[in-house]
Amino acid sequence: MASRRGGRRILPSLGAGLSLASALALAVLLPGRPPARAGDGPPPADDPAADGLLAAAAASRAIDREIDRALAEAGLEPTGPSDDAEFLRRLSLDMLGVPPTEGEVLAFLASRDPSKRAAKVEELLAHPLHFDHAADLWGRLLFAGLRRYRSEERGRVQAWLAEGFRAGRGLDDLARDLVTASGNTNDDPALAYVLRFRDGGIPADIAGTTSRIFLGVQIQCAQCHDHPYERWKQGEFAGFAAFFNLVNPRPADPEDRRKGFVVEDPGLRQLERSRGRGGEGADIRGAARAAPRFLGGGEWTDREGTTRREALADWMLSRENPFFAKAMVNRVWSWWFGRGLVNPVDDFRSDNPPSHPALLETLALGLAESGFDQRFLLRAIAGSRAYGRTSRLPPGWEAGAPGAGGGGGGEGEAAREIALRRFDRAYGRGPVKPLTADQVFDSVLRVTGMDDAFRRANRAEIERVKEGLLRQFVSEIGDDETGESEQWAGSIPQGLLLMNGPLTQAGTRASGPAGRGDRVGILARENTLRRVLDEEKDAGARVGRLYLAALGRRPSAEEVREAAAFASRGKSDRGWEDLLWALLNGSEFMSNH
Amino acid sequence: MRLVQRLEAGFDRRGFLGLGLASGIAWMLSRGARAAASPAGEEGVSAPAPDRLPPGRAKRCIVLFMDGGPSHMDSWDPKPGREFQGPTETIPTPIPGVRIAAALPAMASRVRDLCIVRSMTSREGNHSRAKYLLHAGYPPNPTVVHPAFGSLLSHEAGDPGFDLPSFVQVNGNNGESGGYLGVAHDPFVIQDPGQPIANLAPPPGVDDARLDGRMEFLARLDRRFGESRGTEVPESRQVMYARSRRLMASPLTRAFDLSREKDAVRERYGRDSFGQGCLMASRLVEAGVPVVEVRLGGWDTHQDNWTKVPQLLAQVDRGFSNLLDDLRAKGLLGETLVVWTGEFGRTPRPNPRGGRDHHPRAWSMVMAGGGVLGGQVVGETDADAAEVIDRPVTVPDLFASWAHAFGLNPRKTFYAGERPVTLVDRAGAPVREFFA
Repeated sequence: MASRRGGRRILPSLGAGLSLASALALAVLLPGRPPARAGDGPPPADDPAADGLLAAAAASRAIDREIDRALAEAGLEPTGPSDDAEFLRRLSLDMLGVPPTEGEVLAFLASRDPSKRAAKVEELLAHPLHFDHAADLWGRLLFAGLRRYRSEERGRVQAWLAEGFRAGRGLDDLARDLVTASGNTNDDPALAYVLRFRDGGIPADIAGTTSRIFLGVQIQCAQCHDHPYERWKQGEFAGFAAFFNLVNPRPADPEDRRKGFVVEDPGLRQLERSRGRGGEGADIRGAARAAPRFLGGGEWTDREGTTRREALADWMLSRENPFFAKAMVNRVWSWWFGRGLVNPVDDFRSDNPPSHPALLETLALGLAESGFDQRFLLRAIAGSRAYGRTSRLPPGWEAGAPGAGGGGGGEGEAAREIALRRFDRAYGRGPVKPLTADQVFDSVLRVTGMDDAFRRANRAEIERVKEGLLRQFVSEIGDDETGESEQWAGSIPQGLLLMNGPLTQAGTRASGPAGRGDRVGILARENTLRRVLDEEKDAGARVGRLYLAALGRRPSAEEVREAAAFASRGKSDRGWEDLLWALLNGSEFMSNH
Repeated sequence: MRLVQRLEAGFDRRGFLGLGLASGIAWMLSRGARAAASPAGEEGVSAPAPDRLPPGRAKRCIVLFMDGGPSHMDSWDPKPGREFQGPTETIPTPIPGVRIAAALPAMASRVRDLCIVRSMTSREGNHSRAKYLLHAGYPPNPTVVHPAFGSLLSHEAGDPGFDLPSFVQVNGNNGESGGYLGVAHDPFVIQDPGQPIANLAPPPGVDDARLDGRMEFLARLDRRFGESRGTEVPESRQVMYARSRRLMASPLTRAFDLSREKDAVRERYGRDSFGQGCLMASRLVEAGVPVVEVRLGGWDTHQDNWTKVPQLLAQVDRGFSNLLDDLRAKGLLGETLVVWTGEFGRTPRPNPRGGRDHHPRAWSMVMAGGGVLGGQVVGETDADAAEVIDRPVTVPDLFASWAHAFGLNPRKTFYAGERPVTLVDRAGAPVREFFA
């Protein structure tokens, strides 16, 4: 089902009957929720920013409508809303990649503004760390699975992405630059994407990765065999790969790597010459000399004035394209909810349908309408009840209890786990997800108060230290095909890093440098722990401060008792070091929940 | 049909070379000969009934994983004189008529230990999919993450009370994991065998008593959080922390410390990361680690195939041969299955850049020890090493064979969420020639 808006064919609207237009109309007509912006009442209708907020608010309601309906159909009762501290930490980790500071938590808890959550969403969307975090996520994705961890190139492209997000550029715009960039890599950071495939990855690998990331389609499997379930055939892979044919980065100056690489698109005559040469169907390189062909669509005829990559971008980013908007929605959704509406996140197939098809359609439509503004999705998700639910288990779900609401019956622990998984997949409660490696690193720095010390060092130095630590865990992958951002899975080496590693050492140390050359001690000089111990003398108050700083919430009375007893065992500050160590190593800190 | 080309193992040193025989007779002869001559105390096994394989006797496993897809035609399955062979030189082995790449001289002289399989065939020509297949025995599947074979062994044969990890991966990890078996069976990854295990020592000033106090309080925090969220995460993290803690305290971690080896030994294995990884593997299995994987990357030779492959083979030749010698000397070879494999082979027809591309249709892998019969070549490819023409072996067949070698039931069923998964893909059957 396709609809026409403004004379253009656009993405099919959802089958469930909720179109964005109707949702928008509802949003305007019915005062269902407080206005998304704090304090200043309903915004005037001709303000584009206000339109954006309204569209996102409508999308939030569409999220809840679809999710609640599916929950009701499954007979599942969702959890209630999260409390303010839970919400703020979740939102902050998703928006900025770090938990809120002590001060932020206290201010948020104290605020009586009924729309403070929506206001916080807007505040964090404009926060400098937000642009870096969004760039981290996309940058890791674009550079995932590299043989060598090309951190320098990734760093440059991330800075470029952060700048793009800061300037409010659309995802389509950024994608176009990444896919079509040409010239010298020293002039254009977006070229790093093409450049990462320079060691034999063009055209096949770049085609596969582009399809996977930007279209959510695993066409690279058709490289070697016809896809077992899907319509993609080897010939279609070859046709898609042909868009990148002969785009081979070469050093600007073979003698001097500092002069960068040059990427140029082939001219018509070059393409003509290469065509039909050695074209064996099964051979990638031969097949890439096939005529360029869009996925599931027509062929492209080479013409003067438009490069093949530009033609690909035009097709990929047009409103008619059935893949791009959904792939973007699904990716962002998976970051926020820990799981895609389509799962795995980049494997759209007819036999792998979305869990909430109408919702995916609506959000894709809304994203396209917003000009592929990522903020539309973030507002829509952050404003939904589904995202704002508590991740605490509702009564009746605890271990040993029969699967409440899930109809699991008394079949024991396995049945409970299955019912719980179904509950989670239906978004019955707030998402629980492990932190990414980036989030762990940045969060430890922030919570221990060492981010200031680091910030005074330059950004490159921070990245160097970070890469050095992360490299120990991040796979050095032997080819260019795999990809996902690294999660902190909790392996033994990761455990050892957090238990004993230099960051934890410095962050949980109450004493300054023991002598010259004590680099850990230098970092520890002004950490959170030292500050709290100096400012608070009462054990309970100290516990409260450390919980706020580390976990973004106030401890319960029982927790205060326990922690104060534990930390006050000896006379020295060591017990407090031990307490903060335990907080930082705990699952509550190590996950977003 | 000639199924196998065999050497009568045990006679080679005495200058007596067996001839390739029809398999029906070969297994009886080779059994007897093998038992008589085995230097590593491999007891004789009575001849099996024709329809039954001798019981598996592998207890440990070392996988030498050739990341990127090694060229079978330039290593174990050369075709001297053929147009596509290129400049690769070959040498004879003690098995009449069987030649391998000249860059593998030490391996050629140890062919009595080797079961060279020249008839591997699969359908996955994409690195990540094929590597998944070779590690898990199943092709990737969007709804279930299969454990690597090492993780399965860790689960089935590992001792949870043992200080060291049950599955160690040397020289990096490519996403292989414990899958549905959980993070406790993830590989313990050593990025660089020359470096000590990072962060193994507690921070200065944190003694055992403090460490214990920290761990206890951490467990309490995690228990509370786990109860409130009902997730399995805290529980598996407790397992991980407990194992980390034990590792920190264990004298067995010396097995990871190659600086304790004599320089001459380290030189012998080669100072490259693969050679040192093989040395570490030898030390680790001796210390009791049941599964070690050592990776060697760089096999994705789309260009400069004939420059790169000999360099890589030189590392393989040193590392692999020394590993076999040391396992034998330690009396471990009979119970240690050593596997050399990549994720696929490479196209016989060279590409214009002096390289070979991905070729899953026909490729080679090699096994030694662990009760697998050495001194034989299983299967055959056509004149250009492009197609398997005899005794095709699929990856599920390989896994079924490994399961047999370790005495595991290939049909054992696990639950990945709600979904039943057998230990080995039902499509696989053990390869008789490996054992009898």
